[in-house]
Amino acid sequence: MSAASSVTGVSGWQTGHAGWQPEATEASWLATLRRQALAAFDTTGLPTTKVEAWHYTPLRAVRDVAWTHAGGVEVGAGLTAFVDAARLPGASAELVFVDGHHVADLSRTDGLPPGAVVSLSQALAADGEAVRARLATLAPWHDAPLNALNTAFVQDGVRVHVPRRVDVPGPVHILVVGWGRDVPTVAHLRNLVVADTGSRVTVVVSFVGRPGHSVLHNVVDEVGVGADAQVTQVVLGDSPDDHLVVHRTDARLDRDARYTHQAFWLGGGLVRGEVHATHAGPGAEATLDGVFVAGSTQHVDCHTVIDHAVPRCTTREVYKGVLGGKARGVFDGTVIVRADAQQTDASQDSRNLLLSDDADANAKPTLEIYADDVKCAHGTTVGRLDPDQLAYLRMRGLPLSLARRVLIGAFVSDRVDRIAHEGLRARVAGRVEAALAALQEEA
Amino acid sequence: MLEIRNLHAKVGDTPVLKGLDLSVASGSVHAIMGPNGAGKSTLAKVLAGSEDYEVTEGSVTFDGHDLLAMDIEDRANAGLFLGFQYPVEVPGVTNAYFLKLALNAKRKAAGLDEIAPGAFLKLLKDKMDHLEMDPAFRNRFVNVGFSGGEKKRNEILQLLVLDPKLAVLDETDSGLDIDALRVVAKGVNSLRDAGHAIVVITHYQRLLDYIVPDQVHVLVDGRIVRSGDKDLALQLEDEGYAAVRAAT
Amino acid sequence: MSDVAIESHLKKAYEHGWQTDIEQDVFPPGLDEEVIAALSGRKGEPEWLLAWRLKAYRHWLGMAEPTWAKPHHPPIDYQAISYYAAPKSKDADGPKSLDDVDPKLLETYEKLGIPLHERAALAGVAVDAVFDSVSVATTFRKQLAEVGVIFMSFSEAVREHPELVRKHLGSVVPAFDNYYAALNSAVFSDGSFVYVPKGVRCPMELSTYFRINSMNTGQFERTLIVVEDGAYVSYLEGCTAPMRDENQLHAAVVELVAEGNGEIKYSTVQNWYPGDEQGKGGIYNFVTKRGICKGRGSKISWTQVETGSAITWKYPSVILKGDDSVGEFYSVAVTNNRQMADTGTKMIHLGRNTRSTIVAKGISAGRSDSAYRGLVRINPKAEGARNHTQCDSLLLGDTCGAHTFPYIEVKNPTATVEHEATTSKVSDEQIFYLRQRGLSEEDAVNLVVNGFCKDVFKQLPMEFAVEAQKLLAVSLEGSVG
Repeated sequence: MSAASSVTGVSGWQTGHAGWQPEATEASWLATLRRQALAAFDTTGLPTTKVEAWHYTPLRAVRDVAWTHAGGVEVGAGLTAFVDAARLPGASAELVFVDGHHVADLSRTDGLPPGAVVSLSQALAADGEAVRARLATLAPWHDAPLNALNTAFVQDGVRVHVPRRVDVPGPVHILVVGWGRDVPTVAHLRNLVVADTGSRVTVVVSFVGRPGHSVLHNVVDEVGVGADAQVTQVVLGDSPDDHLVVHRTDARLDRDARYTHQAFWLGGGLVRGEVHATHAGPGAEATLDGVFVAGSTQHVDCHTVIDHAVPRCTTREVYKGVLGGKARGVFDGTVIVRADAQQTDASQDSRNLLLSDDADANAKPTLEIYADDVKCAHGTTVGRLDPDQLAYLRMRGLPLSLARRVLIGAFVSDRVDRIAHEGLRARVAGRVEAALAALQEEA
Repeated sequence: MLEIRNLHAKVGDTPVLKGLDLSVASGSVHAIMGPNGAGKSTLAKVLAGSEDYEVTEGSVTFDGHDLLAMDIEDRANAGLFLGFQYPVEVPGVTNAYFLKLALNAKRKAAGLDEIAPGAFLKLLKDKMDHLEMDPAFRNRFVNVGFSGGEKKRNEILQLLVLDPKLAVLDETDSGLDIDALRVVAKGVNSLRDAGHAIVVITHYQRLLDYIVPDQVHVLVDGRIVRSGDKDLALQLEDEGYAAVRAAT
Repeated sequence: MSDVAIESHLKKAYEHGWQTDIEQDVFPPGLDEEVIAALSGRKGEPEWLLAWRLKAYRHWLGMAEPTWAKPHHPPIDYQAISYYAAPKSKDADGPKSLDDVDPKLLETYEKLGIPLHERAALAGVAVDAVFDSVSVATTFRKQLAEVGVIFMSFSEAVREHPELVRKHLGSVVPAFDNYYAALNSAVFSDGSFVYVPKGVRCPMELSTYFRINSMNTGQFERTLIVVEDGAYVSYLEGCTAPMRDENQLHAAVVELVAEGNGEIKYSTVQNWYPGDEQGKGGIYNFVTKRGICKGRGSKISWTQVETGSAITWKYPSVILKGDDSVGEFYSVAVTNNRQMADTGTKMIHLGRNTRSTIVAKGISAGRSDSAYRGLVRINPKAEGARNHTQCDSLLLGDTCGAHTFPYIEVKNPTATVEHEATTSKVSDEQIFYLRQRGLSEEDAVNLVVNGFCKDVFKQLPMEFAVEAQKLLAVSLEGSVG
């Protein structure tokens, strides 16, 4: 899948999409969608920090670069070895994308019934109308410039469709590789996850890449969690620091649905992780766990909007940040409780640990409440390691560096421990530990 | 003092009380026992006037008044006290202030002047001493952060300060250790005289070792199915509700 | 809780909605440089102050009016407002003593519960009474002067202590700070000035009572309070306005300066006319209040009870510059009918070991919207800074909204910042429990509301605590125990 010929835009950004060629066979509805989205982008351009949702995150690093769409990649030994190292043991399917292109040779979906997990281009070829019924239905691209760009330029992605009452045994792993070229490379991927009534699936989106190359990932996931279905989405951000990652999830929860989003942002020079979840059916339950570890000049912005539109839904949200070097961490979370959403039970918690003098933590946990029979609470803390705890461990004989490592590890480990899949938990735990160790070294 | 005739009540569309009769004379202590879901707490709340229940039939006369026609606070000020199974927290309102407010509301209803501050403080101190309560509880917010036992003791403090004619104690013993139970019983027993009546709602015989009832009633499926003296409670403990129910 | 109880709780009529019939000197509506010059001339101001005003005005012309997401209001026509209204005085310089004050004005304040004759005045409270654009009287001045405390109207201070005014005016809220601050800087009419010299503990509470009386006027008062090293003052302000169908603009600026170990306690009971049930009329209360803890160990504490105004935008703030300085913000904001309140604070930690506490309580009822919006910023050099924020919202009825927008920015690793917030409603269970103990339904609601506000009310000076509680229609919580 490439893109339509008729897309035109006036933005400087569009002209920067050199090397991006239309696909003659693309359906007209998709071409129209792309055109509309690009027109929407052109009315706003990239957001500035004057836009409230981007208050703490300047996009200079995105704006000032002429990004190019890379062509298909040649699979060499280097890339194969790199991908093999990033594979997830125990995955029931693994789809590999390199610079926006699906690499079928490195992917496998043999563990699942045919059609359950396919690339977006395969899905479009097989049943375009089915994709049309889902694409861009959950993720609005008006007033969402990055999403508008993704919609206009989407290259490929994954469609996961779990039929009624099917329980997918192992995680579906979407491996997003930023391999990079001689020029700054942008990749727009779109993943569609549809879990029908009573089904269960875990989807893992991993960001990895080759350092020394400039890469921008702009990935949008649309997740429809059907009645009584359970979707767990784990995001592992492990890109090198010269990569920029913009990842957005829009989830819709039907009656009694359970949606768990677990994000671990450990790498990437600039990371924007957005989660928009809407409680659309009563009794739904959303759990958002986040961990971000950032050092040097990294910038990690976790932005969540949980919309309670109907009664008796639950949200549990805990984000934990560990910041060293000159890193900046942002947690901007909003919980909206609409007038009909009585008996909402929502809690939102943002905890931040600052390890260096120049690190910077910004938190904005917002509650917007229009119903009167609700239980809502939020909390934020920002601080350093507890000196008393440190002293205690040292008095018990631990050297300072070990005492620090123990306490920092303990700070985030409860989020890691909540990952249900064992292989995945081990992988994340290992990457978190490595990121914390790197942070310590820096300090 | 209290005459309940053929009382029917429902919550939503579910009937809970289905023709309950009970008469409580001044100076007597009654125990109402029964299995879970029999309607014990419903009876207490209906008597107090909770708007969660709808009375569909029957009558309740309290001291010659039609109790069911009265508002919640009028029942309270006429001398009906409900000891809550789950006492409610009121943040920011101190125990002492709340008790003074409640006592003065009752005095006002009786045409009396407000109690003098000194007299009130003395009254409060006496009752708290009697219940072996830490004086710090005076200034703590009503039930906020209290343990289960402290909340129950606090209910009894309110009982003693407000000195009602009729006390209906709903599972006041649940969750209490033996020391707290003893103190609570001491408080309740101090009200035993010709001018007061007490209805103790409980699940367990244990409380009745300390507050010895004149009459014991077995409440099953919304009705009193059996009444007797204190030995009935012992029999219930030995044989269980099923046997007692079967015997009726 | 039944709707009846909520209704009766909320339908307390606005008590201060009457108007004083008095001959006034009023500028025709409109704003330009001539109006500003005329206003400055009427007050006999020095050149530098007129220049300062005009500079602010010229800057204001180029500024954009803020449009915010939450409070919406129809556009304000700044040319339809009169920028000066004052009771006509026999004497050009205003009344020399209370004997010269128009009896109608004395009556007005009497009726508002603020007797100005010192023999009848509240013991231990000195009052500056501001009526529309001017101060009409300041009580207990002599007694205060004996200990070196200056308490007078802003206009008098400009005449009598120009060096002090010039030094501090605009030093905390710059003339161009924001749209309404710039407007105020251009057209401010009167207000209060307080100066407490080194080491002096002001022997009585100081108070300003603001009254808007005239139609189509805006009130733009300016208050400046300076305490020197080790000095202390407690200052209270109250405000009311007649009931009118038109919206009126109130855009005040308050600046506080606390030197080393100095302390300012600033309390507000804001009861401007809130408009009627349909949201017609009422005051737009767009106020800039900011204090600076300049010296080591200084302290500024804001306490506010906001019950009035159609729209309130107000963020009393503290810049914690001195090491070990302390900022506090205690707020109760009540909104009802169609009122909107967007209020909160900014605590800017610059110095080492600075501490701030924020306790904000919002009560929303009717179709109103109440928002807490606050910023806590810990700058890189603020070693060991601490903040604790508690924001609670209480909802009465199901057609109102409560919102919490906390901004937390920490740039120093040794800081400790905590924010907690809850939203709850008055529960049926609570009301049943309290009624079972003999309280009427209305008293039960009052008790719960009052308990909810307790942490803030206990910060108010006694006289104001009483007024605040009356405003919330509660009886004397806390008199026992």
